[in-house]
Amino acid sequence: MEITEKDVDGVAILSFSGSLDALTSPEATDYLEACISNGKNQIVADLAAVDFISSAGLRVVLTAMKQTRLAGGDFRLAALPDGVHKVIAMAGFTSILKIYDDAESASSSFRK
Amino acid sequence: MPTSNPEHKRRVALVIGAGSIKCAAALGLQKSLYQAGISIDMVVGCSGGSLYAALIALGTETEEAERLTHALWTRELTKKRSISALLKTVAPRIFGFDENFGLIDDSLILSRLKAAYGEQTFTEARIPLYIVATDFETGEKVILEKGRLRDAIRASIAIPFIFKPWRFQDRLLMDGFMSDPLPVDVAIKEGADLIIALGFDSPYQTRIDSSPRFAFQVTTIMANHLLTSNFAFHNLAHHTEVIPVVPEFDRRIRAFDSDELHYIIEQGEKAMNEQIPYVQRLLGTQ
Amino acid sequence: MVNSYKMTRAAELEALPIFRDFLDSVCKEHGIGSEFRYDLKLAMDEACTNIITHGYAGMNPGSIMMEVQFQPSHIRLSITDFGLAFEPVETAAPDVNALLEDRVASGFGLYFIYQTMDEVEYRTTVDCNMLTLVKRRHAPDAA
Repeated sequence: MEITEKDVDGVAILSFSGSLDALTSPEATDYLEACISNGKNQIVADLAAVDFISSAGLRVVLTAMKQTRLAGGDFRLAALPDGVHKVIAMAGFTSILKIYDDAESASSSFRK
Repeated sequence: MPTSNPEHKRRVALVIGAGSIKCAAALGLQKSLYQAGISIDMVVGCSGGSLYAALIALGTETEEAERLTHALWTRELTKKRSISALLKTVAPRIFGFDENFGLIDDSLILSRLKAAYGEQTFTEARIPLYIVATDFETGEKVILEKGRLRDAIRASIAIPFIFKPWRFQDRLLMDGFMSDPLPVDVAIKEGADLIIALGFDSPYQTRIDSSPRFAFQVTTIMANHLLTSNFAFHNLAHHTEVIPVVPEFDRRIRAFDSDELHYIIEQGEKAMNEQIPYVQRLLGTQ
Repeated sequence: MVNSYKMTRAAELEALPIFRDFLDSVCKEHGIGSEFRYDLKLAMDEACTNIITHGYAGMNPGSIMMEVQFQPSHIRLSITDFGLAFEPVETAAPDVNALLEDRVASGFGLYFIYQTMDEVEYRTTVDCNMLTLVKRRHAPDAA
């Protein structure tokens, strides 16, 4: 799994690639926690290049969502591939998370 | 773990779940919050709760809201059976049974909704308003946030078997309680920090002597279980607390007991008053 | 065409992507579509994660053996391990005081397996534990 980061008007856009599973999720959680500790609480996770997510990856999403919100921000998802969307939907997370078609619309949603 | 940002203004959501006339307790909650100087930043309503969510979002005074409810929600609403529904049930082929099925004639509720909400739309709401309905074809939960209020409300209160589904914004919609009886998830998604949730277990029928009562009983059993499990999940998924406000009634309140309206609102106010110090503590205003 | 494939790896988290890639490639050879492959990988991954994190807890990681069988009507995945047996009774009483985040991983894992597979069977003998997952290639017509 790889994470690349860019900043668009104060919104951190994190592009994930590879798999978010039990092997990689601790690393993803550490990365996100560091981001939030550094005051970035408006985060977009671009998952376009994520080929696999399991329940271990959902834990990462849930943790990031709660922590950004506690800090007054939000954690929003963008560009979910079909398989990733299915897992997110099966867990019922589509009703508590904001999800966008692409990173661009997700980051601009913070400015509304 | 990052700590909460003290400068961030906590957003308060009022979520009014399904519960027929009992949802009027929301007006008591509104009164109590207003007196405590706590502003509501968004309102979410489902089924009976949508009637009051809309009134609160429109900024209707409590007395006026009470008056409107008296004129709107009475037992007469379910008095008139739909003759065509009866015929369709007995001879589905001849009378063309379709998805527009409801045992009760809905002309009275339509005219009353029109009298109460007129042509007002979501844009006239002073604070963000979300009304929950269920897509009859796909089963999906649908969050309504634009268009004419009375259409959104009519969709959200389309009690299965009783009132026919309502076509709105290209979807055939049914009662929101079928998918999400107490939609705190909508407030979570919209970024509410503090969620005040007014929810009710629906009462079971004391006797089952008609098809509408039979239908009520079936859907009530399912919705009560759905309420419990959804609420448990959403409560745990939220980053701060969801505060359930449960008014206590010393007598049985039936779906259309509009004579009890004043009492229901009072009990809502009382239940909210008990939670005010806690809410203020969470908001950091005390 | 060969109808059965096997792979054995030590029960370590590093084996997860290896098992998934293996499953993906043999399924591709048999013309299985991407959505179907995702379901199989998900169920297999959740089952193996559970074995790796709980099954061999407190001991040196043993092996996980995976077998995939292709039949005209269905695909059968068998996952065998030699660790502690999965205790459904204990999992039925989750620790309600644990954070939801901590329960998500274990709670949803089993749920996803049941959501994506048509048959789930777990057997435990004195030697090993075997989980058999079956997914039908053509969903039966809805009634």
